[in-house]
Amino acid sequence: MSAPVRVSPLLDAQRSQASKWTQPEGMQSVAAFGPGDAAHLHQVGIGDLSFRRRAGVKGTGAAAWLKSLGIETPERPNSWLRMPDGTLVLRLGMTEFLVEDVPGGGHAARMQATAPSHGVYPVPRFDASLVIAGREALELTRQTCAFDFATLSPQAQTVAMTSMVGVGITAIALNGSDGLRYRLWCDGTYGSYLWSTLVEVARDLGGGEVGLDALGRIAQV
Amino acid sequence: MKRLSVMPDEWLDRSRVVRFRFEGRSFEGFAGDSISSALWAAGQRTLGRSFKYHRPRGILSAANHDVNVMVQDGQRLNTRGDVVEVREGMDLSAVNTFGGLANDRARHLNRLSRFLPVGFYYKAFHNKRLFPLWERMFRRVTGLGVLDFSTPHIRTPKRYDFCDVLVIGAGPSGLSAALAAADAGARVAICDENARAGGSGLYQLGGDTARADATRSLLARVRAHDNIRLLEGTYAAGYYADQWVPLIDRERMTKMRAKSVIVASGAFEQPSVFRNNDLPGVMNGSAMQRLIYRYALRPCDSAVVLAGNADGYRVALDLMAAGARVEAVVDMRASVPASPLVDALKARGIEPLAGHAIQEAHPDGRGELAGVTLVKLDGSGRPVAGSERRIACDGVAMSTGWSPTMNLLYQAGTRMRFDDLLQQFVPDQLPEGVFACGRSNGVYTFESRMADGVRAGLAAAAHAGLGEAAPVGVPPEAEAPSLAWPIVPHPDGKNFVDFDEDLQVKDFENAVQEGYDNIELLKRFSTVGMGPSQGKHSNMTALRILARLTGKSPQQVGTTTARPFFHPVPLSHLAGRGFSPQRLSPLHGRHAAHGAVFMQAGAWLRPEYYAVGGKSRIDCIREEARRVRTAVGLIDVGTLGKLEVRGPQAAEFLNRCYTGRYDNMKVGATRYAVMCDESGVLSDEGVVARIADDVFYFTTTSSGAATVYRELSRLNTEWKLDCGLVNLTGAYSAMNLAGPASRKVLSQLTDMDLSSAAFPYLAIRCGTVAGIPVRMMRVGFVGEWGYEIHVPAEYGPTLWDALMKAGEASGIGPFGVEAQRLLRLEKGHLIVSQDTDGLTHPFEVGMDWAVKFDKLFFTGKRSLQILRTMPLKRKLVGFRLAENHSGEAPKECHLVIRDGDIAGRVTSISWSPHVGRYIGLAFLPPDMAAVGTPFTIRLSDGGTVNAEVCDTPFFDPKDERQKEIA
Amino acid sequence: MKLMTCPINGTRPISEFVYWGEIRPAPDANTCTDDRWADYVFNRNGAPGVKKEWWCHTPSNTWFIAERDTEKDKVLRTYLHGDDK
Repeated sequence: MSAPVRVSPLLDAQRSQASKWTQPEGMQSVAAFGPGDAAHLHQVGIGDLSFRRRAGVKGTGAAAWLKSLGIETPERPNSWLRMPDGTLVLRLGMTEFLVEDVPGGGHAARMQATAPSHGVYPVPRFDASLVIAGREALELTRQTCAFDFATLSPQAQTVAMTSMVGVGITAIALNGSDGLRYRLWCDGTYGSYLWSTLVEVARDLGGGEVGLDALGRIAQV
Repeated sequence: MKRLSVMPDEWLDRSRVVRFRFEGRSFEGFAGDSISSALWAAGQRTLGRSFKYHRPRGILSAANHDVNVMVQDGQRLNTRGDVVEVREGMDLSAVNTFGGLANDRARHLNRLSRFLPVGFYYKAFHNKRLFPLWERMFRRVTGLGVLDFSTPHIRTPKRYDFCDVLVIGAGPSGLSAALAAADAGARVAICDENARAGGSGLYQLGGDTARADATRSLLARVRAHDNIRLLEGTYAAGYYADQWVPLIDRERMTKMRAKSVIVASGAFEQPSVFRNNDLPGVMNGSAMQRLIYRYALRPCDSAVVLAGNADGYRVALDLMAAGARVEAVVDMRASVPASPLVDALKARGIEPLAGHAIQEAHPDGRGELAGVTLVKLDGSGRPVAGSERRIACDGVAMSTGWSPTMNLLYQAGTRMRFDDLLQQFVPDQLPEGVFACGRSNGVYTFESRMADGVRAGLAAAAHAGLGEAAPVGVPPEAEAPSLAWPIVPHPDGKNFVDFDEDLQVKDFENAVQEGYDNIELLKRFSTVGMGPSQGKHSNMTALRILARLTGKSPQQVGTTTARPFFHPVPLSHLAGRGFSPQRLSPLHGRHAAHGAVFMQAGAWLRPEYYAVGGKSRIDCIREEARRVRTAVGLIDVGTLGKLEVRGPQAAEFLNRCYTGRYDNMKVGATRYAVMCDESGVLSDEGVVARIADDVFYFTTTSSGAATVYRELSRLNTEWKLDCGLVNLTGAYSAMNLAGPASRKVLSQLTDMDLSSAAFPYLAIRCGTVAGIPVRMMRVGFVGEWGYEIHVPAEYGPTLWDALMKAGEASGIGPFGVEAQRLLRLEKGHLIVSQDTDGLTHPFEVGMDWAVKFDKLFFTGKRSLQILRTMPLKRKLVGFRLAENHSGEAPKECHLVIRDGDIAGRVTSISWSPHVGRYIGLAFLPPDMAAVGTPFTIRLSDGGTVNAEVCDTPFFDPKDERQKEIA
Repeated sequence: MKLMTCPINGTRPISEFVYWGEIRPAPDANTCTDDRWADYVFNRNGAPGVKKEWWCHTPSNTWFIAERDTEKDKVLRTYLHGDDK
């Protein structure tokens, strides 16, 4: 039997706006919303990276357990690192970790398949995961969040857990060839609301939703 | 009222003429004119009617410190002429007139003023029977505009912002403070309520360019500085905890968080008090200066200046520079301190009249200023009889004192001190992170204001962790900027203190005489400071009067509380976008596709029922329930809280949190769980399943999910047991496949052994269904053979589809929350917080069996031990109505009445198609709880319904439906 | 809006937090009198002063202790349970 179909937490919210679909990592995702996608990305674009495979774990033994699986962990609480193969590892607070694979990666699957040892507590996750990029990205955060995103340093690789439009989120800032972008994760059951709200604000600022095609490299790294 | 040639810092764009209408007549102004300045330039001196007496009013402050010029601009209300720019096509009318500004019929109230003393509202209109009549009159006569109900509802996007130092006020001291802080490395934001920054530095000039040049230079440096953002047309609406200040501009509200806040907002000029000081043409000295330098207007042709400070002399010189004739400079002080300003005036042929005052201003036929009567003052400040002298003039500049703009300092919790030399309040103890400079800090000399700004800027930056505070010498003021008593008594009154509320001196005397001699009482009885300008131009003068009347010092009298907002904030700015988080199940799209009618359940949106064309809501619900009892139904229970505890002490953890015992559960078993708080009250319930020796998976109520996880996390932070707690509520999807055909449907999708031997009632099994890893429990909530299937949320819709497809042949259909509530009621299951309240403990609801006292400790144990020994006050019982009941049925919370008293209440009730009667749960006294006891329920309209206590479950009392069918 | 400092996540507006209540020593539930137990369960000290309280930073589910002067409305310090020296 083929692998069961994974469904994105944002599918219902995006369905009516999408014009082209794709299935990265077995999850139905929007390849393109419309011809405005690329322009939105430049001004302020909201992209959906929920399709990435993820796993979480916490506990006093979590760091050592991850190491035994060949997964590097950041040293400081509330910081992130990128492994040589591109895997993103976030340290949430003191003893919790979120591991996000690049497309085709297998760390999350291996975590889920490996029995936890003492002091290791697996954290199943169903995240809605967004990327915000563009000229007005910081302004969008100013209109939706009381936390100062300007203090999220891509160099210091800090992680912030805060509240945006009333929803708990985890946020980091990344530097790219096209400038600064923010990655957000939130509980999938709030995902549709977060997506729709941020897209509405982005539209007010002259941007909007962006499909995976227009995201290009951003969706891959 | 003549337009002058171009002023260096004027606000006008003379290339754009603006045409507008006021009170039905056409006017012209320049772009950049305010409504007040454009009308004044056109020779229109009567701009409004006062609130109570409907006296004609003109410009008083030209700064929105009074509402003489309040107009209605189409749908826009509360339009302040002093600060709103004229716009092409504007159609304005004065508010609060009865038949238009010129012929306001209510102006005759002026002559009835004797019958309208202070506080007359409270005395004349308290008759209950007549009040509706008075109310209708009031609404007609005293409104401040007419609301158009078709005005569109606008929302503006609010935003947050951050800086190191926020400077409020961009006058000379504020600009200096901003530069000092920015040079120390601080990120500075400086705001000013005016359209252009510069403050009094660009209009209190004394006919000399030096101040304006210095201010302009500061402004240029501020605009060029990389670390400074200048926000013009932006006011700080209030001070909120920890340096949080809402900044309001025309577009929106910005919630600014600063590390340090500097208040540099200057001072409000207080009008002098003499008879008819409110005639159009009488205005604050600073109002005249604003008109001259911002709007290039000569405010009058012949002026009398009433001075009590150095500012008055500057006003006189500015008037002369603008081409007005200064008839007299009248100084209320016994002697005029020597100064270059006085010398400059004398050089122009004006000899100030020391020890004199204006006794009365005189109106012309239109009620506008035509002249004044000067009078000599004796040693105690009283007019000397026989010294009166009349002078014709069309302008009076009042310059006798100031009140510092301290609203935000008060809101921040600053302790104030009354300075006798300055005759004003100054900050005595500022809270951490709050700084003041300039006139708000009691510093009036121009050079001193800039130095004081530097001092504050350095201190503010240092508080924000940048640079170091340095002592900057600010010499004390040589001259008092305010008179202690700028008031001239007159037996005929009409010497106004509060122009918004038409309060004259004798109103204060009367109030104090009646016993309202405390500042809080005086405010509320007289309404001083309660008008639209909230005391900006009146509070200090009122305070002086009260002090003198009660023989106290101003320090002793104190001030009333200054509350946000500093200026009225439009509702559109306050509304903002409005964010209300919505939580959706992963199956939401499936429900919508099935025609679900959704209901709000906390933050969640859940299907109440599924609409079927042609069927009523209640029929749909009953049909869904019927399908579960006769075939098979599928319900989304994903909103349930789902938690996992793992580790060697996981069982011990559950033993402590819940009332039951879990250490003796077999792997693969489930057990109902009840949670109590420390007082023994039921706080939550769910099902605990043991998946492994050291892994428990347990559920909570939907509404309790977040709170229970949070509280359990806190408890383990304290107890530090060897286990970890994980919240899977959002990560897992859950659905309940229930009905006689449920096993048949499920067996098509899985290889798991579903026989009742291998998978008994109340067991949990892990396996795969439709290729998806599942945790499945056989549960009894709705009372049918069924499976509660939990899967990772990303596979939820796929599983739903597979089940619906596999169940097609069996007649499967989705069922919603209402059908589930009916089904569980038929089984007599309670719902926490519907059938229980904030005082319900387990013994009241027949859950003695769930409380295991043989544990060493669990939350609520001691309280439950005590409660167990006490007689029960009530019991939750099942009841039913008569088989042939007709008419209205009771609802939840209808009361049980015995002997005319409340005996209990209904908690759940519903018509049961499977039992054929109305059934329900109710709280009753223990002596009424026996099966068969009849009782009465009272409906909302007072009618009663008979009911009878009966056993639960109502349906399938022996749970036969869970047993293996042959 | 008031600020509160989570020992792990830093200073945030108070809307990101939940207040649980004052930390009060419990009497020995097995040996104390009924009256003493009822007093512990139902009564709270309302007098202003410095109180030790449980607070939770909800986006990260971090529980910590705040010492707060309820008279001056000032948070003196915050720390994780067990970290106060």
